[in-house]
Amino acid sequence: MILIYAIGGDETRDKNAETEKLLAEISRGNASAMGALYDLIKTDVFAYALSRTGNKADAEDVMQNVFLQIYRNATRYVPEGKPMAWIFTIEINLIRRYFRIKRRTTALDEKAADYAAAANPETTAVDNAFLRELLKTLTEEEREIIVLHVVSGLKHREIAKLLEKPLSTVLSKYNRALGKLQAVVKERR
Amino acid sequence: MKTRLKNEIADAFREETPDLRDKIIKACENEPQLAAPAATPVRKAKTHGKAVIRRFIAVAACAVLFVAGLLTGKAIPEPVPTASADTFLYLDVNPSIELSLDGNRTVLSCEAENADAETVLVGLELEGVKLKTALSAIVGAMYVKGYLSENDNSMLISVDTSSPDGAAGFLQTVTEQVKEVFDNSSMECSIIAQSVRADESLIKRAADNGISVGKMYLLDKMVSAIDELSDADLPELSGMSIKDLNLLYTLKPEKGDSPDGEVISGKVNGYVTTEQAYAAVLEQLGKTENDVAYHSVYTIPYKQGEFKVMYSVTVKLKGDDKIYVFEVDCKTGRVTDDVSYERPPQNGGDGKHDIPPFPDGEMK
Repeated sequence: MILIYAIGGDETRDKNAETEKLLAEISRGNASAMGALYDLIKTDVFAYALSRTGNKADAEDVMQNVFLQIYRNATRYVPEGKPMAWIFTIEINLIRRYFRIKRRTTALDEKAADYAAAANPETTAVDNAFLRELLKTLTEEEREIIVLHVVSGLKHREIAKLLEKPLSTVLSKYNRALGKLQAVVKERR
Repeated sequence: MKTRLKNEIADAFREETPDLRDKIIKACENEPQLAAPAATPVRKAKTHGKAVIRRFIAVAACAVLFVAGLLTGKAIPEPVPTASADTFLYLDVNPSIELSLDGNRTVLSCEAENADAETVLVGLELEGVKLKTALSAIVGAMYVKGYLSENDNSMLISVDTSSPDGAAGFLQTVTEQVKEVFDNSSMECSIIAQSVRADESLIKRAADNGISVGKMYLLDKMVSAIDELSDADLPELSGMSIKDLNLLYTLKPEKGDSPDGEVISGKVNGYVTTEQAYAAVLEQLGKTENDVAYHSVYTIPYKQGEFKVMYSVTVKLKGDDKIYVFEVDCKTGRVTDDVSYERPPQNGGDGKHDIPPFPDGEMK
């Protein structure tokens, strides 16, 4: 999959530039650059994983694997000013694999339990109360769009390209999700 | 209101993010980095005479398969996603591809397991097509995109099925279908075929090592069957091509630990043969076949920095009490070592069977 990733605002641009610099260092075997990269993008990686899996323990597993894959494949990154697109592509593939494992384990073991139950927000061990509400209230698709826009600063058209969805779908799901969350906040207050 | 809400969302995720920094950095320390890929897959520079004709046939056949794959995929609508997969088929060359199939051997999904496989699958929409058609399209695409050549290929086929028909029969069928595709394209391929039973642990370990479930299963089998290999070698073994593993795999049958339904077919091309290795040793000794009382050739794994597959060539010359043991690099044919030693004490025999204790391996 080839992703076209337009650079967003200044913050996103800075993050892309810094990430690209660190990837170059990592590809040269500079281990300390890995720590700096972790500090820079840890929330982006974790938030996206949590939005998809809905389960904190699994999100941590995905997060760890994403960083390992980044380290392992850093030599293969072609600098084009789009490192976050490359990283999210790695993460999306790992999450796809995560769901495949869930699905396969269920199929091969002939267990009746639906793998989706494992990702049920009710079963997560998320500490933050607002986050628990968010995970429970929004669909997986709404969560990933919210995270990519609000946490990672991607523009809607960038999200549309990344997720291979029409821009109109992304926009409507984003607005619907925000509306749901506003209702949650109002109710809480 | 919206800005406040967005800040609250971002803060919530930030607070929840666990601190895995040390754990990840430590894990990275043990993680090998992949080599930067070549810009384009390497093809042979020169072909002459019959080779040109042969190549033309292969190119033409594969181009047809590839285009047929594209057309077939587009002509058939998306499958109704109600069928459940009872079989998973893994194809490894270096591109690693996973197919899930229903009971009618129709492809339900086709997943790229690595970047090379993503390249192979660009433009192919195989969901809903019959397995045989899918195999043709995949082999065609692999050839067209430079991952297969006319005569120097190895493929690992792994089947994981809960089908009542059983794994062995299906494995045989798939292997024959793949061979047929290669034969029809005038291409040669050495095939390792195995049935696997993938549990969650195997799938996870495959993901951790960045390889397919089939390759992981094969490596596990090799590590358990070959004394010289251990779990510590898995990262390095993971990076080896199926072709190199195929040669290393020849060590395995002597250990008497064959997985269920295993089929090995075809010969491994692109390497020095045992006969050539023996000839190189004779040349090194300055002797001919007539001077030899006895010889043997074993395949051995050899680790010095990286894994190599070597031939250990043992020669006993007529009228000479010494036993000569050489090691020959399977890739280059270079004679790399010479350990000659005195013949051990005789047991009153005629000398023909008084050979030193050989390492376990396949006798040629």
